[in-house]
Amino acid sequence: MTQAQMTCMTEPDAASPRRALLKASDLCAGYDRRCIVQHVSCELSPGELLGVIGPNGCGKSTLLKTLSGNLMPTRGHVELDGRALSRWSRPERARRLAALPQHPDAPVGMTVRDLVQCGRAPHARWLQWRHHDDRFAIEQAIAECRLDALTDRPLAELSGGERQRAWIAMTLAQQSRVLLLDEPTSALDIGHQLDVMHLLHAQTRQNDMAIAVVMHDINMAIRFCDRLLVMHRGRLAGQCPIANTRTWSLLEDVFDVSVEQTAQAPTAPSGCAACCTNMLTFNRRQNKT
Amino acid sequence: MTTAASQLHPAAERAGADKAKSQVPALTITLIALGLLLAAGMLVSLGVGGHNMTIGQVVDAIALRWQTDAWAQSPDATIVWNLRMPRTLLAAMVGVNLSIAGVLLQGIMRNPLASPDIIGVTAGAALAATIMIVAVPPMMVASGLGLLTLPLAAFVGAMAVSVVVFALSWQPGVGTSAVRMILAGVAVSAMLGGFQGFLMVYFADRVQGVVLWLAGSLNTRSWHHVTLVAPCLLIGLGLAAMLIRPLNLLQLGEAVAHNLGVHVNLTRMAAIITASLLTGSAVCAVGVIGFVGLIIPHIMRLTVGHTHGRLMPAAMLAGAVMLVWADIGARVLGEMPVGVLTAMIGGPYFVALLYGRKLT
Repeated sequence: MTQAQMTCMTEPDAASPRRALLKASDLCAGYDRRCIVQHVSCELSPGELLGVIGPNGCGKSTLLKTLSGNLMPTRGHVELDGRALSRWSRPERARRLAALPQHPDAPVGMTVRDLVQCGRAPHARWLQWRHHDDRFAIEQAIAECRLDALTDRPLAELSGGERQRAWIAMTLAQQSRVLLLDEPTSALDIGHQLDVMHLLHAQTRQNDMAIAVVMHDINMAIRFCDRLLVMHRGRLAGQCPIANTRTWSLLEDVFDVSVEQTAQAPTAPSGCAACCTNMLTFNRRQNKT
Repeated sequence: MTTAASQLHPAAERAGADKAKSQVPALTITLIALGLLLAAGMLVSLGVGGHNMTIGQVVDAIALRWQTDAWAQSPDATIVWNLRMPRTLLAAMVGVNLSIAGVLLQGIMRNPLASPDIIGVTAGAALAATIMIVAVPPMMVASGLGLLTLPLAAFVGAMAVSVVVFALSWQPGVGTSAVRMILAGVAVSAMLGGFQGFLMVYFADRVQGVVLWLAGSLNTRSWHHVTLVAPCLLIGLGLAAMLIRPLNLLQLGEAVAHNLGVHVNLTRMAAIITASLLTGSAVCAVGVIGFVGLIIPHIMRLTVGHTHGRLMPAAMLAGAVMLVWADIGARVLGEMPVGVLTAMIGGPYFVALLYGRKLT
């Protein structure tokens, strides 16, 4: 742990009483010897929705790729379920950790059900496509993402929000405990953003999943996430529980904006994070120090 | 939970369901139609040539095989069994090899342009064969002494090039990427093509055999060639069948496939080696036959869809059908090299497809 500036890392142990499912220690990663993620240590516990935020190019996506094993760390290591990520066999890893990159893209003509079925691949036996658990998992994932009416529609015909839900349904069909999502809400309108966030939040509460989401909408992150992981220039600027005024000053520094709490939003709907519902307004800082 | 705007669209939903249901019969119908075309093509192929026979004569000639005395005397039986049967079987097998190689390569590259010709496997086989023909004087002609030496050289050339292409596309820490593989294949192909041109100009007096071989011909192929290709075909098909699931998942992109537990680089390597095995054995037996590996997978994808479990059997039959009928055409037109015919028919057909429908 080299980061002394993790100012608001107040109570990581109290916040995660149970053993972390995914744990990164002193992680460095990048492309062609260019270090994009530097010395990041973080944890993801069951039942937790973790928001990963930070300015563009700060290494959020690279961090997620490293955590999901798409990219080899140049230093440090990732531990999944108490064992080094690279020591799991590929299907074993995929049964424990699901991840979705930023702009996934499916072949022409593929239907929603075809896609969700792909999520069962890590559970498949040698030369066997379908198992009796598969049908159940697929139906459940489809129902949870409310895709029942769309199962036989080609993905190309769906709206952006519906397509995103179909991809998430695929990862849910994997039935893994850990789920890492890279900007699942970025291209969606507000209604579909809420759909996706409610869905993810419900998964952490009902199925005890550990979910990390990269996102740009800070108000949305504050409303739904249990904890924020703020990244800045490849490093971890801080991990903080939501309701914390020190969070605001951290955000001010990292994004170079001024943060103003403008409204106390009405209490979150039932099942949503009981945490704070502050509405923040951001302005570009005028006088740079 | 918020009530989302996920309204039912009954009509669209029904259309989607119909589409999904109609896919399986489409596959069955396609397979049956292709199977019939193949059977008919093989029968016709046994009867057509310098000495034309009716279907009845062909069947009689085939049956003669089991009557030991009559078999030796009948010229029909000799022609059917020793000349046309191996040729027909070889045409079908080469068609299968090339189209499955195309399916595999297009599958791992997720690129519609990928084919055995693009990634340099064909060029490698051709160059190795050319070197054998021009550099080793006793084997100036493809047939004769070098009956097995030439195919083996071509095969080694194909495999060597596939390894080189794979190695060139490898990036430390990241592995391979589809684009790098195609670029490496194109570059290596161009390089080998240049060297091939040099050899053909420099040894202009000896390249007669090379020219014929490069055009791809099924003429004068014997049971030797069949026994050479058959094991490669069986091994290749077995490997291809094992790659069906990872290939399907790879269609979702490298990252998603990795997250679903697919060993992306291993799948790529296995597919390249399998494709080289299939292409190499085909090229070494009959020379360069272009376009089959490129267009058959495309046409079949339009008919039976993207899933490799459906695509592979359909492409297999379609490739065999295309080559058997192209060989018949080549024979009717007076022993034209079959590679010339596949390119001449395949090219315009491909263009027509490109303009008629969305070909992606």
